[in-house]
Amino acid sequence: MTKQKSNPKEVEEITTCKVGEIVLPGQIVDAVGVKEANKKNQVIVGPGLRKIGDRIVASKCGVLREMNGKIFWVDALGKRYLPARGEGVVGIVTKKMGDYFKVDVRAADAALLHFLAFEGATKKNRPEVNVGDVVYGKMVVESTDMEPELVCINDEGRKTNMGVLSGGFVFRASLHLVRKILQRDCPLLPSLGSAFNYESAIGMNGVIWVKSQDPVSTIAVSNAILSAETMTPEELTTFCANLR
Amino acid sequence: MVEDASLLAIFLKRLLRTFMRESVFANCESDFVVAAIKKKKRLDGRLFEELRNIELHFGSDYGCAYVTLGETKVLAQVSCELSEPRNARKNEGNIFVNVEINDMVCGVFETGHQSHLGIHTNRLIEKCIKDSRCVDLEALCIISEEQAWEIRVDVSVLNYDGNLFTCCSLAALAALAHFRTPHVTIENSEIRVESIKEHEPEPLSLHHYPILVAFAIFGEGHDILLDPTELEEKVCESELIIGMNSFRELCGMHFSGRTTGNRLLIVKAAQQAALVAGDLVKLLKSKLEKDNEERKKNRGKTDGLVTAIHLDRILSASQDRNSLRVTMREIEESARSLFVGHSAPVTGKDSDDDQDLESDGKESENDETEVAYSKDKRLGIQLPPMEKMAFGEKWIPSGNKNAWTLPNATLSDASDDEVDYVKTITDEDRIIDKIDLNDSEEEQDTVMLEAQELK
Repeated sequence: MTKQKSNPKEVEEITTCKVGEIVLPGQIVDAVGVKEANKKNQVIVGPGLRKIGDRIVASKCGVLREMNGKIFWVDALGKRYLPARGEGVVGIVTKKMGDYFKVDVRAADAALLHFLAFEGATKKNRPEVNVGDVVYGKMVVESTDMEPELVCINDEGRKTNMGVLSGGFVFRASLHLVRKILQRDCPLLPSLGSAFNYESAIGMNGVIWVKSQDPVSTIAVSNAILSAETMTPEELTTFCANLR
Repeated sequence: MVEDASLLAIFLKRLLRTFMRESVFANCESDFVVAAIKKKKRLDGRLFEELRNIELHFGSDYGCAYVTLGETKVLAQVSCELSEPRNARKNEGNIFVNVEINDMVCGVFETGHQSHLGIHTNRLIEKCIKDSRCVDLEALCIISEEQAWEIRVDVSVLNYDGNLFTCCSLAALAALAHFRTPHVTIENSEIRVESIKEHEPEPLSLHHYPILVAFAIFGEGHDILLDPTELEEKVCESELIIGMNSFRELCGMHFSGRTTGNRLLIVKAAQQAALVAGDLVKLLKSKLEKDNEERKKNRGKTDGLVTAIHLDRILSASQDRNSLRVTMREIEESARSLFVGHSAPVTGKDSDDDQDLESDGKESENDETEVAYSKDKRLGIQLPPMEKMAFGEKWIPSGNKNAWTLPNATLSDASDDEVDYVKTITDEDRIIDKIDLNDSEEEQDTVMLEAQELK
């Protein structure tokens, strides 16, 4: 996200687009909210929007969204993950390289995971991680141009829920599905929990790990999660009501 | 010695690199697939002997065919040029097959040289089409020892999700069947190629229609999965690819992996392959006829690949974004249709399930759109109008079926090709039953699992 000061003169524009409307790449964005934000003289421009010269231009095809009248972004379907600091992701270990493990997190680059980034790990007591294992961890990104790093401990050195995930099944979903089901008011996960016994780790990178006692319910849970992608909110609530 | 060692090192490095690139799948995934198959379940809810949704479209030019098999997408284009026939066969034309896998298709493939999979597919298709002599090469000859048509089939893979073989071979065959060579006149031993506009071009003569059918084998030869997906292909014990034409003649076979082959396995797979090939050829012929009719009506013009676009889906070219499908209804239905000729399933089902049996058997022959819709009906979901959006206003749904269209609209779409494929299973199993291969347990198993889930 880039903070920027916008120029109040720019607002005499031909095209007007409202929040909630579809914008196309190259379209100049000057929604009502942007104007209002201009008075406060500060807007935060999120993913899919870009400042070119004095103007804010859409760089993605999607729906213009807004939060608190301050933050603007374009909501688009996406599969490619862009690492962001502090996000929980599920990755697959692809390589051991000395002190590091290389973890595939569906981003442009593989993430690095240091062997000391596990709870209780010391030089003598190495954690047992093998190629092909699934890991849940947090992203540490210094710069978008650098290789991202993954850690499986929090600031206090505790693992909380992070670490190697054993068993279960991993599948890939789109990024917006993940954001959708992780929303606080999304009824899907709570109602799934009341219908099935399962564990899951949902990575912001669109990789979802599910584990339950037998394959059938694992497939059922994964299924329910995947089918939530195309559901309208009402369908989702009925769907969840049916699960209970 | 030193040279050998360095060569070995290069080789190992390359091997390691290919290995690295391919191991994007987690260990737990492969374990899970194997465990699920032990329980007679496939991740996408298909039966073991079920094909994915298949589509075939012809382009507006002659010799262009687009085939999608699930998410595997392939485009084939046939072209021809005049050349001198080979010395060994002076009165025959020639045919070339070339399979192209771009690295854009899937991260696994490398740029530059042809990948292992590409070569493998290429060779198998060559075996299937060229070596089975399905194209009449002598008819391609114009003047013996001097001029003959050289036919080239270019198959480009657009998306990869397992089973390139069936997809590519169907595309190549369809393109060949659709292709027409321009008319040629000979005056005083001078060859003149007429323009397509002036003179009606001539179709190739095909003796038979061979198609590759791929199987993945699990459980030491016990479980034979038709049309494996990418994950299944990666995990399977061995792969069995059978080339078969509609007359049930074998046109090539490939068996690799670590299962000890036994006769029963091969025979069972071959039986299935024959049925699948028969159905695919039927599809090919019907599509070809449709295309011909359309061209006749519109003076040789068609809409071409525009027909491949689905307006009822948000992602118009995608068939089904959910790699894992709701298994309950679909398996139940197809399992029921299998039991139509048999006794009713013996599991702990209540009586009205059995009464539904006949009617549902018919229903299962419908297109997938309808199944998807009836699924919604079962859950009692009302399709809401577009404006009403309370929670999650911030999200646009995406993916497979557009849930906003009216139910009627979806139903009217249910017309063509897929119909055959659901039928396939029924026919197949009847025939397999005749040969007394005890496979009925599979379906009973699936039904049982259904009953648990339906709660």
